Amino acid sequence: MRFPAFQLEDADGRRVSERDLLGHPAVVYLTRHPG
Amino acid sequence: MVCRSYLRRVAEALPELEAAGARFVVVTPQAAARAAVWRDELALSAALVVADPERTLYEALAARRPAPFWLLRPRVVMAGVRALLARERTGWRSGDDPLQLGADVVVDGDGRIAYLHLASDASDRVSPEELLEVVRQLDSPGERRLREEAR
Repeated sequence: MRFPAFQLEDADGRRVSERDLLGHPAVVYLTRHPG
Repeated sequence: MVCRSYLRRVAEALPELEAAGARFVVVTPQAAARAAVWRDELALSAALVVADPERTLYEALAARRPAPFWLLRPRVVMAGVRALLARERTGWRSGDDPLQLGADVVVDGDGRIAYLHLASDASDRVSPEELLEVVRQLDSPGERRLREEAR
């Protein structure tokens, strides 16, 4: 199962996608409401 | 363990995660500007913090909504008490979706999900140490190919 495709912004407003996860392992933590 | 407490633990484990060649990605249902504030407060500048206010990734990964009375689960109550004793403030704000639960995912270098844990309540998270162990056991085809090319 592949990680879902996405087109979102990071905290600095830069566009990020699933392609930014390629090339190295990633630990992805889906939060609730940290702040 | 509540979100802020957990993220503090991960921040402490970040050097080990990076040493294992992994990147830490935090997905939040909050807007980017708000995420930037707690990212800095929690010393997570090395993490990629992704704002997902429409919760597209939560839905795509089938992150759960809690069962009725989940707040009464003893471990949720204990996590709340521990957070209070640690003087950890709640991150909840008006407009947040209190019913959306999270998930812990390990993705290999080829974009495949190697591990997926869907939280069943707010305290149900996988420890950074366990996630690190999953990362250490990864051996993706891409990584094998890189090693072979380096020979």
